[in-house]
Amino acid sequence: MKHPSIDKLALYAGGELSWWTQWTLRRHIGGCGQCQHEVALFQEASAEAFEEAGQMPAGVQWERLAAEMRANVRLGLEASDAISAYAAPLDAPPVRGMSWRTAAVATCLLMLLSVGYWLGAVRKSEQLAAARGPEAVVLEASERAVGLSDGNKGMELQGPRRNQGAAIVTVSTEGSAGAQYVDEETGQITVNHVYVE
Amino acid sequence: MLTVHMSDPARQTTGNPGYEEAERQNRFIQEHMRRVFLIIYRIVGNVADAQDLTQEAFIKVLQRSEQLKDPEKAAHWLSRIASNTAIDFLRRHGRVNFTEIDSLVDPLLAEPERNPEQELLRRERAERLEDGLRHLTAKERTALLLRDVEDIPAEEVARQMNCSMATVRSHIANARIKFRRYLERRKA
Repeated sequence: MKHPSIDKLALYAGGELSWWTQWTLRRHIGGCGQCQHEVALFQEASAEAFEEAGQMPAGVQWERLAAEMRANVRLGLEASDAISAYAAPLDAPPVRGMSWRTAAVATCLLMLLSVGYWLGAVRKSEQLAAARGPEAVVLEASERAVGLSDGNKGMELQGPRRNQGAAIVTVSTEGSAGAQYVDEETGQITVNHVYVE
Repeated sequence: MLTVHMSDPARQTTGNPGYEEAERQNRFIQEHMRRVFLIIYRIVGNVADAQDLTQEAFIKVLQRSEQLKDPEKAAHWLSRIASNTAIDFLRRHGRVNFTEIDSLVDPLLAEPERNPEQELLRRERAERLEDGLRHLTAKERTALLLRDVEDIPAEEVARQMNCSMATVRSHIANARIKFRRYLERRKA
């Protein structure tokens, strides 16, 4: 019968082998008294190490030693903090992010200012327009015609041709103009009247 | 060995902004100090070195206090730091300087013990363990202590020792064989 190696038995005792190897060895060890004994010795040795290793070394007064170590650990941490603080630049102002509340208030204020400015601009524009009033109607007369204009729209009343007599032009303050003239050849009287609306 | 006695942070008032953090650190130290000291002591085999390395391991962990929010992870991390700190120490110093058991006993400072027979038995077993561990390499000793004493799974031992599973299995197997043979020789 071929026995497993001593290394494998040592690992079998602690269950560190792969599932398949562990299963194969279990089958062998189940029927092999010699290997069972080897495994039992490994397990006893591990149990002794486990039991004894948890004991404090003889002569060590643990409470006193622990208090000393705790104090030294605290001292080490304090020293570490002090060194970190010293290493940090002293004159650099701390960089702090804006909190969400501050950001929200700032946004609201900015929106209020923008709306107020826009409303003010619109009102000022309306006041200027009101101050200017409607465009005035202008009467223009030339050698051949007379016209009315309000800046955007206009009209013109043509005068008589050369062989026609002089025209009588009338202008009303209500926005109308008229012209009367007599044709010298035919004696026909022409009356034109236009209104501004 | 540096020894400084400071005021107890637990006496500080709750108005101190660092009070809660100091309390959390104190609880963490209280819970794990004995375990960590013993792991390191079993690896380096010397009380004075174990004391310094235990302090060093706690300072390393507590400097990143955010790690303490998850106590389980923090405990694993502490074990890893402790074993690595001890292994690094051995690497730097080249060999293990085991304390002689007799040199530790101070009749004025030692705790009141059981009856002389019990004490003799206990010292004999302690000596057997110390001597047995001395026959292992630092990595074998660390692997054996983490696996068999701390009961840490082999995969986690491999992570803590920064090596592969195959290497850790090899360390564990060698350590068990050597330790067992030592015990057999001693009993014979």
